Amino acid sequence: MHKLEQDIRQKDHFDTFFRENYPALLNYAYRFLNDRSTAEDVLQECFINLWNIRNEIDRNGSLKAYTYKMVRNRALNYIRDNQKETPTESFSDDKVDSLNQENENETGTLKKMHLLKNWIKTLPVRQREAFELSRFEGLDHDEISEVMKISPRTVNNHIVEALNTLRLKFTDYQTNN
Amino acid sequence: MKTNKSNIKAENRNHSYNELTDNKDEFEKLLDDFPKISQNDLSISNSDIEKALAKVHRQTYKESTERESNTARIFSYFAAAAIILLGFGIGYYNFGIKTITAPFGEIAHVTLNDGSVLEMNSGSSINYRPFFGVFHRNIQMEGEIFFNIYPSDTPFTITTSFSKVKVLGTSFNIRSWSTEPENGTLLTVVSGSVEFSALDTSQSIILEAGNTQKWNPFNEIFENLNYSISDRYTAWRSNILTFNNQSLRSIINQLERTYNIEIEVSDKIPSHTQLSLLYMEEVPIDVVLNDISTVKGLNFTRTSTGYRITPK
Repeated sequence: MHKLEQDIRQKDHFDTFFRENYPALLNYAYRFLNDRSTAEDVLQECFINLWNIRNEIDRNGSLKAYTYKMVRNRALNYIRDNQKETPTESFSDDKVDSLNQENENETGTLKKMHLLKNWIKTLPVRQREAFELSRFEGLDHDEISEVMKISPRTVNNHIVEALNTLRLKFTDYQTNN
Repeated sequence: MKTNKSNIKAENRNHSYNELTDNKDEFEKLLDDFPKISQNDLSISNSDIEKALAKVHRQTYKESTERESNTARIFSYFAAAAIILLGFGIGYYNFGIKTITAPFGEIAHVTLNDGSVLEMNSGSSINYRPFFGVFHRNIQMEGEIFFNIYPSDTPFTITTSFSKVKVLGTSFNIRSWSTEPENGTLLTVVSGSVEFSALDTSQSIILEAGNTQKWNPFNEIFENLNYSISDRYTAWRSNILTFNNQSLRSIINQLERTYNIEIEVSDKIPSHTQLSLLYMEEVPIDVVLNDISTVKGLNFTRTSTGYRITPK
């Protein structure tokens, strides 16, 4: 469980950790903030902080979960402090792409991918976050529970619920087409 | 009303449960493939990551030392080289592709496992597969690197985004930034001879010592750049700043890497503007920016993280 790479006290390990996790974390922050440069700023602060406190971090815990939690907290704080400037504040607020003619040209798997992407966007906020952290960011249930400050059991419920909803939509789509 | 609703929901569930058994595999497969196929909301390139990392480095270095003096800067080269060598030592025992990157603001000196010595200009990187120096000597590179290849029967090959260079034991300089395709790959041979070939076509040439050639991926031709001072292309090794009819964009890119700062260029300035610059010794960045601004009739101002260049 505890890996050498998790020890970021050495500069090159820190850099490796940064390079491996930056893209996913930037997308994660972006989903809260809906603005790339704000997301980049939040991430920069997080990593600077991570470096400054590198000697105090509990090395038996998950560094990834710790970092996601920090990004999440700072993104939410930013929204709280800048509410007027940022009217969009919830995780799933980005627009669901409409299925226009362009998309009708898509066939088979690609079209289903597109639909799936939209279905995920319509999931309840917390469900969607738990689901995406689990499926796409590769965090385990304990890590997600730490990031989202909910019990592992609730994490599991969210993910099961999300999977059911998506499966339902998928089978509906298969039957009607 | 409430009971009605839940009835419908239950019915729906039952209805889909039957289909479920048929579609389960496809749905699962779709979910598994989703992260691979579906694009993220933001596209993030390697150079975006390196820039962001350089920014973090800049902020985290501040606390420890100010690296203004020359001696401090020289020391940081050794520190960087030591860190990189350490990383290499660990990396060798691991499997998978290894990457070595020279940080912004520093020139890294790296000795590879086969005895070849590399001088990597700021922001440049190489990567190679396991067993380098044992079964093969193939690397991929990005940026600007001076190579001193240890003589051996195993050919040393270097692949850039545009071209391939193959040698047995010589020294030469390669400049090839994938972000600047207009500059293609620039090869300057200092000793011995080198096989220089294009990546996508079968064209190739043999380049002898004292020559510089550029592979232009747009016109798909090799261009001869034999200036009387071909050592200009390797001048960066002694911290000499030289640009020969380069576009403003590629000059700014280089300055950002060398000085580890951010330079914002206004959209209103045509990016294809070309100019030449030569500084025989290390100069502060504002001197360089002032000269560029004077020659091209521009203005430059300080920002919190670097500089901004605007039209007058």
